[in-house]
Amino acid sequence: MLSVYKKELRLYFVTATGYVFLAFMLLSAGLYTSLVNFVYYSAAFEYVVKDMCFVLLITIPLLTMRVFSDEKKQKTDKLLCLLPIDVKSIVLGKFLALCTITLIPAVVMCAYPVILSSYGVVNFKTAFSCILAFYILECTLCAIGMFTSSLTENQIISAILCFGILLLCYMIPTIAENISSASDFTFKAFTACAAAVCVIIFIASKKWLITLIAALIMEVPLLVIYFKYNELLVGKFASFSQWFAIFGKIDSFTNGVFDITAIVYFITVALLFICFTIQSENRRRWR
Amino acid sequence: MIEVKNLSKIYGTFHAVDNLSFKIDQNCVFGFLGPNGAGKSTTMNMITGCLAPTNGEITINGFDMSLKPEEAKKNIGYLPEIPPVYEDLTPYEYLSFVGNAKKIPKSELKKSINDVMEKTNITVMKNRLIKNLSKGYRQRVGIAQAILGNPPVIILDEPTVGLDPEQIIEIRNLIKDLGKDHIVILSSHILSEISAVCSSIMIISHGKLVALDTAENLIGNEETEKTVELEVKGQRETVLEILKNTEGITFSSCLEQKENTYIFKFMPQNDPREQLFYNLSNAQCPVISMFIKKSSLEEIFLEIIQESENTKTGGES
Repeated sequence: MLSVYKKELRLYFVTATGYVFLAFMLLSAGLYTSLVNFVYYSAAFEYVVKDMCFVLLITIPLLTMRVFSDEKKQKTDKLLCLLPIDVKSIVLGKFLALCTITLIPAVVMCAYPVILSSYGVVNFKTAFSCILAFYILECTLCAIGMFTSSLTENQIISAILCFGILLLCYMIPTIAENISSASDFTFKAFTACAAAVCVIIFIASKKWLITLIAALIMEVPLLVIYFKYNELLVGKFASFSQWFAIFGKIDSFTNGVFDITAIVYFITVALLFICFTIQSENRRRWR
Repeated sequence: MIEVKNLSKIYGTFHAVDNLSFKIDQNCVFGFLGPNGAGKSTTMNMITGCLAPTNGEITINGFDMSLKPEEAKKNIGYLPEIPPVYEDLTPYEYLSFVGNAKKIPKSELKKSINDVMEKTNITVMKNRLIKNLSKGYRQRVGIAQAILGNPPVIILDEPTVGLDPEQIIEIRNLIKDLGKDHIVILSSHILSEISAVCSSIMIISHGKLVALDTAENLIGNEETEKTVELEVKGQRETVLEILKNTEGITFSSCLEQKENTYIFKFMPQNDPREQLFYNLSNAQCPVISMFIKKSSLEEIFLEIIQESENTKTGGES
């Protein structure tokens, strides 16, 4: 794992990727600080962090797009297969390299509240907890980007796929506010989600029986609830969609609450996508 | 030691590799031959642990590839058809990564890297980015990664592609040297290279092993018709008459290109050469030379592949 970690980190800094990511993140942090803190005469750095989440929609796909796609394109994925390292160590090595590179802007951002304290009253606990949450969020998004990169050998497709997922997660709170809470709509929306999951299961397994069993497991309880306990479905799709609002989880930190559940949520999502990446790589190797 | 037992790879209904079994326990250079689509790359990918077999077992130095993949992979070095190099690293950085991944002890790593760079003649390029190297140098970096850590089994897929004639000779000599204390499996389409470097040859066709023998046995001692070139002084008609009447000779003719030279064919179980010598001697036609013309590897390869094609077609009909 250590050898992959070192090699990945080295590759970020011999190519422009690492420098471009750092420059873009630090430039954004500087711009947002100027706009939020200096223009509005406010020393609350947490609002800068909240706004910086938008920048991650662009920087994370750019940073993660090459992680596995480039290996496939350069045919170095075969080397990783040949070497006596298991897939888990390769994925973790790459993930840790991503965590290291994303740590740099987060550490630099820690200086900002200190600088701002010269001009006003800064709540350091809120500011630093916000930066910590922002860093963990970055790592979680990197796990998602790493997964999309493992799906294709085309870096552009990988970046677009990652951007699509992140944009959806970013927009979910707005979408959830505007969708109908009627039970009919909720039933249809859940059925559409179940169908999408079934399609993914079929693509992954290529087995009709498994897909059918999965469809029955998801759809039968839904039908029972729809026909027998209809009122239970009211507004449930909106609250269900909030589960995927990764970016929204940082709001409680901005409001001065150190939300442990959000941290657990970030770590869980990251672990889930690391597992997906391991499965995706294993599947490709043994196909 | 490398042992492959009942190895199969099935894609849907297509048998890419079909019940392949062989065992190599002697250090030497094995040529791995087969027409396109015969299953060479699939076999090599399965042996090196890059691809899971549908059935069968692969054992490298006593370690089962499916049960102990890490131990098995430590004992194998592989150069795929396209060298798997990181273009943004220098050869030294690249080999350091490979050495660390192969878990070579830190104290030995530097020396091992320098040794393989010496062997493959890339020391002068060690600090240049791989993307700035020529195809030949990249190929050599690929070979260096395969032999780094001195694995007992080395598999090379087309190692001389893209090299200039001088480099080809260097790499062939390196492969020959490696064959002294390693099992080297060399896949190549250049048959002259196989016959120049390999002491044993493995031929597969339609995913099945059709020949595994020493190069000498394959080329020299096969149970097929032998061709003899004969130089003899005397009247052409007389010599041809004697050739025609000697028992065991299945075909005879004179060579137009060379004076007093004839060719004839016979089956190994009915050798007419001794009788022919006396017959010619009695007719006062002195024999200047008589030798068996050896078949080239190309001829043997085509013959074996044709035979396997015929067997397959026969079996199917």
